[in-house]
Amino acid sequence: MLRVAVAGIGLTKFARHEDKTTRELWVEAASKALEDANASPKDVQAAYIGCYSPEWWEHQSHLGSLYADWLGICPAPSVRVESACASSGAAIRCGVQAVASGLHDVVLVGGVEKMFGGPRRSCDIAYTTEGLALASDEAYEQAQGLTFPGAYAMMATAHMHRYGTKREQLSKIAVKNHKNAANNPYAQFQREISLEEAMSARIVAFPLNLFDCCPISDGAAAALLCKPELAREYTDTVVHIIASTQSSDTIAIHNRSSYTSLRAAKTAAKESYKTVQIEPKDVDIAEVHDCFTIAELIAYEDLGFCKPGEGGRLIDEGEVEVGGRIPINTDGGLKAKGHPVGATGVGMVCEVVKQLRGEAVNQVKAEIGLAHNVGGSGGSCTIHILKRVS
Amino acid sequence: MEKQAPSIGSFYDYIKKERLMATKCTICGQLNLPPREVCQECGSKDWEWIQLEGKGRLETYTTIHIPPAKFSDIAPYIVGIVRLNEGPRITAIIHISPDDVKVGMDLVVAYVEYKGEKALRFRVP
Repeated sequence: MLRVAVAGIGLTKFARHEDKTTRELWVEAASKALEDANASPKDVQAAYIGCYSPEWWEHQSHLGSLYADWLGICPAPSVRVESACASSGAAIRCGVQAVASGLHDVVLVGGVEKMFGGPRRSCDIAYTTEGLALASDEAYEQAQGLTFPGAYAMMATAHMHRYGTKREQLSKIAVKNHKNAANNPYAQFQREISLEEAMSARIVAFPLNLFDCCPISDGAAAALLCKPELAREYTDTVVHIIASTQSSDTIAIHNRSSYTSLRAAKTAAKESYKTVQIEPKDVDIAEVHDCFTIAELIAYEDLGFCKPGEGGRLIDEGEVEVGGRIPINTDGGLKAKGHPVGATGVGMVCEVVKQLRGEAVNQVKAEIGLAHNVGGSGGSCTIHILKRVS
Repeated sequence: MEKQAPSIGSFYDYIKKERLMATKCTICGQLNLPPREVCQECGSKDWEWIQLEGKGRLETYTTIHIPPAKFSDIAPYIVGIVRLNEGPRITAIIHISPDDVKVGMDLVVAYVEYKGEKALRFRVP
């Protein structure tokens, strides 16, 4: 069975960081991860960093070496990994493969994104909207004016039509995630919202309104991974990554077999559960990719926390709340914690690790946690399952 | 049948001529839309061009209120996935009012001039 230990974690606040560029956000998160593990940059044998579109927002590529340089880990190999919003989920997987194969003993994985303008570049909302749409099919989706919220809105229309899912159920997900973020110092929106506020917001892409959409965010996240034998040198409470799976699907939604489920997520989840021989009911806590409220609802179903079409019931009955049967997005999720695209996958794993260590702001009783990180409208998905071993 | 290889370029060359073209896999019979060289179903590279009739129905949709810069002049507009009667599906802007749009409604292909190009759209028959 797969065993890769998490030695340390670090996050920047997810927020508007107009005074910083990605390299500074990266150095902050990575330094915190090293500090958390009481490790030095010299311990890092390789780095894998997820980032979606620094060319668009920052006019910068060749990030792997840039970040190695600014963190002081040269000449260790360092590469950027890209899989849209699942970029850093994919980066974790690269790090896991490197350690599990014996290629390296200690690696740094992370993610970063800057979507607001920075000290050297300004970006307006139309520019950022267009940047997000790059993760869809240029020739056959972008060419028809489809946006990123529009892609998920088409899934919401289909889910409502097929299963009778209600506007109110989507808004309840936003209310829950804002509630969970209210006391999270790393969250972009540390405030609760009312159901009425969530339901009456202006439309972005019908049927999704502003409160169905995650915000534009800047931020970074990092985690130091090591082989299990070395874990005790870095941390008192050892958490292992015990499954790391990834699956692909067509990036154009019109070529998929379903609009109400993500095949990439279902496939990766099924494979993860199979490798660790657990069932969805054995998961104590999950971080799921709620770039839009409908995405969280579909994740409940794709991960097997309920049957297809029953996602609305799960939120209605409070099963996904802190204290419920399967607490989801206890840090506020993408919706309220924020979604600096490339940082999200590692950000999720940081929250799972906090929960398993007993250090979370909305602490629940948990031994096994899962992180579900989706790229674009479902063209890619990574699943990581983590377990506390001491 | 035409000899032009399936590509984004050839798909849009046909759109200019007001023809909605798919490729049919000559091994398994799958209709591939958008047209492509490698069959999505069986992976074979034996294909022939097929012209679609351009009639179908709306499977899902959204109304875009916050558009990318290029489409700001027509927002709000409706984008949907249309299943053609022959089976394959495609994403397109639908020329219809948000008050009238319904999942399952019949649509036909339309070709319009948009920003100096012939563009693929769908409309009510």
